[in-house]
Amino acid sequence: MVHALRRIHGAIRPGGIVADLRPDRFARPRQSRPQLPKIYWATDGRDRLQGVLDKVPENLRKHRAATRAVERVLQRGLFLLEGTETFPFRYHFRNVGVFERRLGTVWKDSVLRRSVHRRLQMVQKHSQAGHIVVIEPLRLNILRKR
Amino acid sequence: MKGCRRDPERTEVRVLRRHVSLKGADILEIGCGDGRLTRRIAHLARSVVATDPNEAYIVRAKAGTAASLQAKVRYRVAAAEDLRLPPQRFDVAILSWSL
Repeated sequence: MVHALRRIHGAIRPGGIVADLRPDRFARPRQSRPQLPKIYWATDGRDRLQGVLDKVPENLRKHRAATRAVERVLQRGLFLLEGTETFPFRYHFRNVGVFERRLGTVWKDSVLRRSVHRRLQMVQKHSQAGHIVVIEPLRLNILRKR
Repeated sequence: MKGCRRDPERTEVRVLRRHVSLKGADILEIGCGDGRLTRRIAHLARSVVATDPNEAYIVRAKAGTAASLQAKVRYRVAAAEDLRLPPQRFDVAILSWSL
């Protein structure tokens, strides 16, 4: 990752920007508990929390390494951290079936607990008008080339 | 994926634009996936080189890019570590969930 950042550093003009956009799993490399996506049932204009979406250890390791890589290039003076912002990135799923399909194809690094799955099935049964919202906390780091 | 909408509120691009001037910029996007963010920023940029290691994603990204944007967007299949990039070619590099 540091290697990739060095290459990118060479490809941008002096004073140019790297916008590092990714899930805000670990704000600091030594942070013990990761921030995980939260799963809601949205109905009547309200989001009701149903649980979190767990991630496999490999996903957590990768995100911790990314945070560490950014720290390293800042320490080496390649970039200046000009700003940072965290914000919610929302996925909307029409129903539990669509959500399950995403988990089985794109989100193979995610684990849906049985208890949360059951809760979603139950809430869908009782509130057909709603849908699933998954909120992934994202972080944007603005790195300016020195 | 049918029945799944990603960031229809466009929060991601709104936050990005709050911090980075994309207008008239030469942009390198790494980890473009199926081009979701690429399509949302391309109209602002002077040029976009968008890369992803997954060829199937690049095929979808190309297919989903409007004809009006195709002159300024170039898609490439490559991982960040393997990219051969010309020196000092870009104003902005966006790491789209790729670090």
